[in-house]
Amino acid sequence: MGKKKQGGKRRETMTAVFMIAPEILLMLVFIFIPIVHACYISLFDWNALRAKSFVGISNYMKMLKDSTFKNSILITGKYAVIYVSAIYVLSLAAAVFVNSIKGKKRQQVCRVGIYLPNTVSTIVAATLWAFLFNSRNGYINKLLTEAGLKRQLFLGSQSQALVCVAIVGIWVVFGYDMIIFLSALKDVPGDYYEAAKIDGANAVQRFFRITLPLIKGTSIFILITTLVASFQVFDQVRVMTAGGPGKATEVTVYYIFQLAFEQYRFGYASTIAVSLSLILMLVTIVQLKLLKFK
Amino acid sequence: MKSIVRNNLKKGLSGCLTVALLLGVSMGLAGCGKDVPAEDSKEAGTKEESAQGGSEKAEEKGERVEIVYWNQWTQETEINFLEKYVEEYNNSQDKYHVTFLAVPFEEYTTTKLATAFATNEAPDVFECSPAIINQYLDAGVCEPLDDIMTDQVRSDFTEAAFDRVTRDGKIYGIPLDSDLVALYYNKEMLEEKGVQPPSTWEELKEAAAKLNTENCSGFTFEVDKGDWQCFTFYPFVWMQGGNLFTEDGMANLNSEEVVNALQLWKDLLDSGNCNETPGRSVSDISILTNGETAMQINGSWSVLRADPDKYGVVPLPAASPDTGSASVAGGWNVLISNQGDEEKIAGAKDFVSWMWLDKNHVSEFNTEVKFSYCMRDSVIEAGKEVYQSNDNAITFSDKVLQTAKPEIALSGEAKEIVSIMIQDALYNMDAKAAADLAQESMLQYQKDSGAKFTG
Repeated sequence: MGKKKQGGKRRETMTAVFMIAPEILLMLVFIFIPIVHACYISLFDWNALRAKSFVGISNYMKMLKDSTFKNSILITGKYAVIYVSAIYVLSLAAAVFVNSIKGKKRQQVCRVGIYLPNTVSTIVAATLWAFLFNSRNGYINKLLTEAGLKRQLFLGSQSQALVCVAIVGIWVVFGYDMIIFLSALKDVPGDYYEAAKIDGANAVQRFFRITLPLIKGTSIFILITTLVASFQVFDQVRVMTAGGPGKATEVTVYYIFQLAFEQYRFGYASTIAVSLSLILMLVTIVQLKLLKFK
Repeated sequence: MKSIVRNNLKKGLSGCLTVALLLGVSMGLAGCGKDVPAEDSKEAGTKEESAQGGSEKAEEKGERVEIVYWNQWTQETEINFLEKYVEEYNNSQDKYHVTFLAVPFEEYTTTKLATAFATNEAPDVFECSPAIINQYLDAGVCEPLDDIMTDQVRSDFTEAAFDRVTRDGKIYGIPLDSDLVALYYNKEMLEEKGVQPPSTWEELKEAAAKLNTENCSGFTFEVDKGDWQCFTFYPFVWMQGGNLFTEDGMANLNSEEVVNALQLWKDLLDSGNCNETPGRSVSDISILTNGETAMQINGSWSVLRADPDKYGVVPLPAASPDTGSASVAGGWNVLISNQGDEEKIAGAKDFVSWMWLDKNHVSEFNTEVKFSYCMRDSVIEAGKEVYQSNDNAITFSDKVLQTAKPEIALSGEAKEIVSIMIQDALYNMDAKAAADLAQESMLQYQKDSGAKFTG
């Protein structure tokens, strides 16, 4: 009997190992080895064509004086603020709205409708929105002029381009986050609301006093994952603005791309990639501390 | 729920690290690119052709030396041409077997070629434009081609043909084609507004103002940062008699001519009469042919794509009635990698000699496959009929070709400085300040690197 139990346990362990192994292996190949490799390359002057020449931390010293890098961090920060706050508010609002719909079918239709943009690739979405934002023939401008308003430059304007780029990211992702919020909302026991209702709490009070505190874990998850995603924005910038106009949308990852693949400065690009990861980790830790997540 | 969230949080944190992967992963993937099967290549927007000469030849393939040829010729006519001749070459001998991979331009010059060299997966034969050629020549990854460039072949090329592909007296590349830039316009739109095609900067500004409407911009030039913007900017400096670099190769970016050219572009954009968001590269003539603009800077490659009854071509407008116009000549050069073994290098040389030194192949490529010029007298002579086939072709052949200077071959860092200068002038500061800033950066860069440039 004891032997059987032992054999069962071993089988269970083996099954677990087999199930985890592929992911670990893929993570090793596509995440951890490249991270170590990127850290290594960041210490070299390397244009991908010649042999690497070791420069120690001088790439990092150069980075500290690089105004384009600093500017790109600032733009990434601006993008993060727009993106994270918009996604949080919109996906939560959409989840509350969908949750309040009476009737399973109607709720399903609405959920699918909001989730649908998430099935579109960012490149396709960016191309589509670039047409919509066209300063001359875009539908958004057509609507504005129909309504008697002034034509806007959108992607051609330094003040509007970053928001336009963020809109694409938000449009693609907020449906996905809505689903996560929705599952959290469904976990909140209905009794709490009934008790609050009896005590005379209105809808707003119920939301802020019951719903929000009970979905705090999910909120933090959404805030952190969207923040991480916002620091990695690239596709929309590449397709819609190429970092312009001027440097208005030159986010850090796009700057890294330019350094590596347009200027062939792979060593320095790795330096900035490594630094960006560290910055992002730091921001995430601070965020976790501030939100007091245990 | 909380534990799920916590687990996901851990995943989120590990996501932080992925930014650092950008380079590593990209390089790893690019390294795999060479071995991607043809089906996958097509999905990725590329086309790989393994032109084989029948089953017998395929059987022999195992004994042949494989030669890999990469380029950016992705138009249907270009791929058909390459398929035809690569197959013919493979059938003509049984020592080498060539496969080619045509990669879309933007991917080719950025993520594809450099990463292939970085991961020791370089193609045996590849092509470079002046925008990227310096990186490859300076790195010493190319094989000299002096042994296949016989005196007879050399004498067929123009004097300046090898300027961009020569290092220490050795020729490393075969200039393939020459693309020129001029001003295209919509004949009907100009006629409707009673506007003559502009021949000076002032006329260009006036014409753009008259032609501009809510839905159709008066004039389109490249506003997005990049190689193409620099490429089309150079002639506006040259047409005033100026240069971006002095005779001894040092920065001359805050010269009067550069500032004037920047100011012209700034004035045009600020006027509100130009296309602020073309939505795609201005090298695409469809901006004009779709009716999105009345005038557009574009190149000789569009001669066969823009109906000459509807669209006309004039040289780029001159700075003033007293000065002439200018144009820029870009184009691709065939290079051979020295990273392969001797057999591969010999095979690559044999193939490019057969393929790209043959006058008939080059003629067909520059006239029937695409419309471009060539720095070979015999090719220009052979294509006379095509080069005079319609009004637009005649304008390029008789008025633009003579005013064209070769594109400046800049290093990556130098190109970035020029690009930033143009963007700064257009969006961030006045033209003089942008030029001064760029001059300072370029001098510093040249001092640190010892790099010198011509043009």
